[in-house]
Amino acid sequence: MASVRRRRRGEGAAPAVLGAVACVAVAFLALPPLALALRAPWGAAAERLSDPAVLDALQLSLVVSTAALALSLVLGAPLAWALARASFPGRRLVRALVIVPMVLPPVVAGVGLLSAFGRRGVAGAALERLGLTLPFSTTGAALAAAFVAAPFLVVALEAGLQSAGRDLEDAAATLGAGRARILWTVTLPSVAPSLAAGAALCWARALGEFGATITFAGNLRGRTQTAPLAVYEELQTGDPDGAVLVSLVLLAISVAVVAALRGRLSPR
Amino acid sequence: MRRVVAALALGAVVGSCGPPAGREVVVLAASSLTEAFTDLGRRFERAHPGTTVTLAFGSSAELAVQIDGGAPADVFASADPALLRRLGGRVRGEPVRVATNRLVVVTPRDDPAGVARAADVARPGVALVLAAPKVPAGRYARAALARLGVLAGAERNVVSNEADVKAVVTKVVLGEAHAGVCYATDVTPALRALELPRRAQVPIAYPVAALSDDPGARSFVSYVASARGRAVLEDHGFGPP
Repeated sequence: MASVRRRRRGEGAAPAVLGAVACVAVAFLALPPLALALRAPWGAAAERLSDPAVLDALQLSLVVSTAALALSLVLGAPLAWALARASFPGRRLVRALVIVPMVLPPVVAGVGLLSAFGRRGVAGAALERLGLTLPFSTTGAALAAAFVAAPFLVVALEAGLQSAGRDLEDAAATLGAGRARILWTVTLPSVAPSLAAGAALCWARALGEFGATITFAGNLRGRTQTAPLAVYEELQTGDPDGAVLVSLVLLAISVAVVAALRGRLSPR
Repeated sequence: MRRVVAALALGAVVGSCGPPAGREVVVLAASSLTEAFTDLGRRFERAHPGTTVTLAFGSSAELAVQIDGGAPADVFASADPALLRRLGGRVRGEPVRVATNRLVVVTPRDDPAGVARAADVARPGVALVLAAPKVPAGRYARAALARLGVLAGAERNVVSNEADVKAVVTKVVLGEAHAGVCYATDVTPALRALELPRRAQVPIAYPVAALSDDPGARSFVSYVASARGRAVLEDHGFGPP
């Protein structure tokens, strides 16, 4: 046992320093959420959280994020399949385009959405003539959230499809299964974990969306003021207690998402 | 390894020393004062070589929250005297009123919704943007619309409560909203402005106060309140205090 303990001079220092820095890092990342919980005016919580404006914001957030997830699934799943299974010219370009909304600063996404879908936008002007105005609407808020959140779903699903591979699907085909049956009984179950993880990340990202929403959809209680926008307005107008309480609700939801995703966020 | 740590420590000590000499006056001003105070800041710097005027603009409500939270501001120029009063102990000396303003209804140049008079903003179908109710511009706008007798109809038309008055201007300039209510000083060539009847106007005053004992702070406040400073504000469309 003595041989295990023998260390070369200086070798023990490196892990200790790394450990210390790691502790600082954990403190840095964990302190803000903990401070929120510590700072919260718990006594006033029940009363403040049952304020109609707060309930409106939370309800709207749930509606908008779920709509954004639905839109991401409808548009994103076929796209993920195309990227994983089909080969077409420009595939790498398409993949890069899909990732852009993930790295774009959200307010830039908002300006882009206005340029595209605003009343005088590239596509928005035509929609306006058809009577469909997206800015300042709940649909617009869902669209903004979907724009920034869909890539999370597409990327996760594409990875899942690639790692699941075609082998089982090919085997099912040689055994005589039709395309729909293969999709339902072979493909979907094999990508279910990736799909679930991607959907959870997509939904959580949509829930937290702020910059694109406030720029494109605006800020109106009951129609476009999602929870993050409500927090912002409370902060801007001198109501830090309200801001902290709504932030805690959002934090609790985020923690629940992380717990549900445990084990899936790190590479296998 | 030890040499790396020593170098980092030395760098941190040296880096934390501020720039030599040169005074800095940090001014937090209401967003409607953007152009006027940028001008005043430049003139003050020319008159006081070695001094830098650092300006930050936002809604007066937001700035008051920041100051309350300990923001290192030397001067606060508010669009609402009440917000300045609420800061209480942080204000040094007497606040000085330096200007007044008035509200206008603005539409895009091509007036897509046919807003012919200010009261038309209450007509069904007009997409109206206002500043948020707790922001001075939003408070004044709602008070003016109430005096005009059209607040209920206008509130139904509000499509967004913006964080400050400049955001209202942006949404109207972009054509996303049919109309907005902002200050007369915010009007740009891209906008069409409609005056409000006199009975609808609300008093809008801009008090400026020093927040620190820095001589530069008092000096800047005096400059803005001087005849020269007030002339610059009037050049930018503000009314006399």
